Amino acid sequence: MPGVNEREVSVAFGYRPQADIATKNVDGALWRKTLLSTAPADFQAVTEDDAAEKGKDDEFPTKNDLVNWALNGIPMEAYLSSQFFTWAAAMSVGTVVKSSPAAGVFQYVMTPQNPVSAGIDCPPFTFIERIRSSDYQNIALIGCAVDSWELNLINGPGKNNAKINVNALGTGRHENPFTGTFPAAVLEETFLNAGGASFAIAGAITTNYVTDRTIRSIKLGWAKGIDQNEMYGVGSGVQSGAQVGDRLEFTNRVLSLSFSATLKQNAPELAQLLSQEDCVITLGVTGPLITAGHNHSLSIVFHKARISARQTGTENGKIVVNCTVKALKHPTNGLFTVTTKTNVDNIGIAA
Amino acid sequence: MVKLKNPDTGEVREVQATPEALTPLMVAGWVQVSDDTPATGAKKEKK
Repeated sequence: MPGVNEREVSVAFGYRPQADIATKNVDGALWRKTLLSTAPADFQAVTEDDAAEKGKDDEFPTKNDLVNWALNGIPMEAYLSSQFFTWAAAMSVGTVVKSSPAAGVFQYVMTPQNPVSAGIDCPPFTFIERIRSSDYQNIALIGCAVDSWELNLINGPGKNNAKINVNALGTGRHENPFTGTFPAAVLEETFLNAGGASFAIAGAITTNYVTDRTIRSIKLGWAKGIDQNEMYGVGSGVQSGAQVGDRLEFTNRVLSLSFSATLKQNAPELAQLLSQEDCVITLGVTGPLITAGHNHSLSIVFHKARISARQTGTENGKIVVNCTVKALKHPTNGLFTVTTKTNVDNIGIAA
Repeated sequence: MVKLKNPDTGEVREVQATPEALTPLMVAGWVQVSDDTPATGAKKEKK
C-alpha cells in the first residue's frame, strides 16, 4: 500500500558538535526529537545542463551533470523546552560556559562568538531523517549548523503560546543509508510555558510588562547569516561525483526583538522611542523545578538597547503598541547574554 | 565556580558561574577550561 504519513518522519540530531565537519556525530551524542514542522529537510542533488553553452547548433541541452549536494534548510519548529532551547542557543550563539550549580542541574551561559579569538566557524552537527524504515529513507546529513532561530511567546492557553523555530543549513555531506543506531527513545523535554515568562525594560523609563499585565506577544530572533555559496570552496570535497562544502561560517549576525503590548497610560514605549536612551531588556521564562532552588529556565539579556520603532494598532478590540527593539553592542557586556538551566549535561559542548 | 582562560595571556582565573561575572570575560574572548586547570596570574611580559 503506497503512501507514507508525514508523522512517520523521525528525526535525530547531534546535541554536541561533531569532532570535525566531515565526521558524523557518534550514536551516544544523538537526540531523537519530535517537531511541529512536518516538512522534511530540503536536501537536493543539484544538476546543471549545457543549454547555455554554444557549439552545439541550437539552444537545446544535450547533457546534464551532477554538480553539488545542497542542504537548503532543515525546518525545526518545536514547542519551547529548556533542552531544545539550550541546544539551539549553544549551537548558534557561540561561546558557552557550562557549570553545574547542583546535582543534576546544568547551567549554560552564552555570549556571541568572538571572531578574533574563536574564528567564524559554526559548530557542526549531524541531522538524521528516517522515513518509516531504512528502505524508504534513512539519511544522515553531516556537517549541518544552526543558521537562525526565533523564539515566539504569545498570549493564550496551550502549548502554542511558547515555540521556537530553528533553521539549519548544511554542507551536503551525507551518509545514505545512515549506518549508526537511530535512538529508540524520544528525548524527554520540559515545556517552558509562556505563563512563566518575565519581560522588562530597565532604563530612564522602567517598564515591567508582566507585572503591568500589558505584554501580548514577544518575538526574539538570532540569525548568523551563513552563506551557502561560501561553503563550496576550491578543494572543499566531492561525494558521489558532486561537490560538498567544507566550511560553515557566519557572516553578519543579527539579533532582533519585537513585542506587542496593550497601550498603557503615559505610553512608556513612545517616551523610550523619543528619548533614544539606552536601556537593558530582560526576557525570561521559568519552567518546572529541577531540584530545590533550580528550575528549568531561560534568560536573555540585551545589555544595551533602544526602541527603534513603535506603531499603534488593534488586537481583539484593544489598542496595542507594536514595538521594534534595536540591539546595540555594550562596550563591556557585548550584544546579549543567554543563560539557561536544564537537566541535560554537555549540550553544545564538544567532546 | 568555573575556570576561564585568556587565550592571549594564558591567565587562568576562577570565576563565579553567574552571567554577570562571566559575560565581560566571555565577550573579551576568555574560554572555559577544565576545573583541574590551576589558576594562574597573568604572565609577565619579558623585558
